[in-house]
Amino acid sequence: MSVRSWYLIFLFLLTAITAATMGFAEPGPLILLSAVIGFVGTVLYSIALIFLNHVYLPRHLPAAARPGRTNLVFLCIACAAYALLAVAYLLTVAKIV
Amino acid sequence: MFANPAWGTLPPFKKAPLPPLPNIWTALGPGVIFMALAQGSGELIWWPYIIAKYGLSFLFLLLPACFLQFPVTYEIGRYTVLTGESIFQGFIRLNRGFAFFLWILMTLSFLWFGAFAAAGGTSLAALTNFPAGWTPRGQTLFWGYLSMFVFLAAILLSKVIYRLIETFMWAVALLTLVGLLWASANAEALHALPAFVKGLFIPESPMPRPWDPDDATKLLTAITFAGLGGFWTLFYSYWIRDKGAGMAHYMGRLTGPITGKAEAIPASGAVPGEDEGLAHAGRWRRYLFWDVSIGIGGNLLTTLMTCLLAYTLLFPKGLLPQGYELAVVQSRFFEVSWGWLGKILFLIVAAAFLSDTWLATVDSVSRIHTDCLYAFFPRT
Repeated sequence: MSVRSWYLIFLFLLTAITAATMGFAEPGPLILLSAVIGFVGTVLYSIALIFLNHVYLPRHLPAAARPGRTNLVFLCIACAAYALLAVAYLLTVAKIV
Repeated sequence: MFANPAWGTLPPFKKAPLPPLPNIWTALGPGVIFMALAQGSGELIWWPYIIAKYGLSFLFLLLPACFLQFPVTYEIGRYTVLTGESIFQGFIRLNRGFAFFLWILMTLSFLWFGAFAAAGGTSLAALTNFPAGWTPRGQTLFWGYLSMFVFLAAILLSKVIYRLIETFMWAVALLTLVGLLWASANAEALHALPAFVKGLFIPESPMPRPWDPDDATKLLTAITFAGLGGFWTLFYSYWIRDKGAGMAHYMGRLTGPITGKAEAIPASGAVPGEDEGLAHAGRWRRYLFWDVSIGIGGNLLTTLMTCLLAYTLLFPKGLLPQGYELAVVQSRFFEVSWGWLGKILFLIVAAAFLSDTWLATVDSVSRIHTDCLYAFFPRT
């Protein structure tokens, strides 16, 4: 099947799921799960971006197209901040703080 | 699956010249979608709530929260500009087990996003009071379902799906920006502006009301999800790809099934070779910088304006925007300047930028699932 066919299948599937669930309040455990996943996911993919763009990708790129050190520094700062926020969120929902 | 060495293995990168940057004004767009999509959460839900409840006590966190997203969004865009691939394809190349885990997490986090269509429905229900005789909840759901149907029909009838989304988001972003600028120009808001600007850098102390521990998660969410946040930020890669930025020029676009002509979409991207195309690398970097700046800067500007209005109009009266009254409470933003006409305009704007979240999310999540399905199960 083509990419477009699969895209349409997922489009209809997600529409059906959201239409079916829209009338109900989001279950409490799912709200919490979505939020925790959002925080943890942000940290995970931000760290993955460091390795993807600054370790893996440069091996395939000509020198002129490689990312610089400044970008890496800012990305590391953002990762550290998101990690701290995720820890704070987890401690809050676990009622430790 | 995990024993099969072929699963989650993408074909090697091809080599191709980096295309020249077309006119920068025609190339911009993904950042505008970022801005319009971000308006559906932080601007209307989290930050106005925090400001309406605690005044300027936490406003100093807004600027760092917004700027924190810049390097992450820029790097997401950079991968796609340099390879033409989506960010999930990049994660699969980096480590397929990790990418598979991330895919599962993303799927779980987007199980219930119909709430955004319902949130847009609150505006239209308040605006029309239609269908007459229904409860507010019933009217909200009616408009939520109708907006989903209209968006789905628009996707199916579009020629190029990305173009439909970009055009709609441009309209939402401009309408919101102009409307909020106008509303913020009222006398009460202008009078509060000096204190508000000071609050951006110096926290107000003491707090105007005692801290409610239940608001800790709301504050942390407001900071982390200022702008897009969470898995929403990854969508930026898909908009860059279908915009055809950089090496994405060589990737096909998703087209509508009725009026669109199918385009070939290769299973892997291409990286720039050592050729004359490298001369364009600097211009593409600048393009990405400005496009991300439009997204994050535009979102910051509109969030600042909703916070200023919340501080001026909601905080003194103790009105908190939440639940089914989310949009109705904030319609005071426009009502103060323009009376009933302003209220109607605000409800239309709010309906657009809450329900556009559903449109952009259903499109991007479908793209991610398709990407992952092809990479993890190549025989599909």
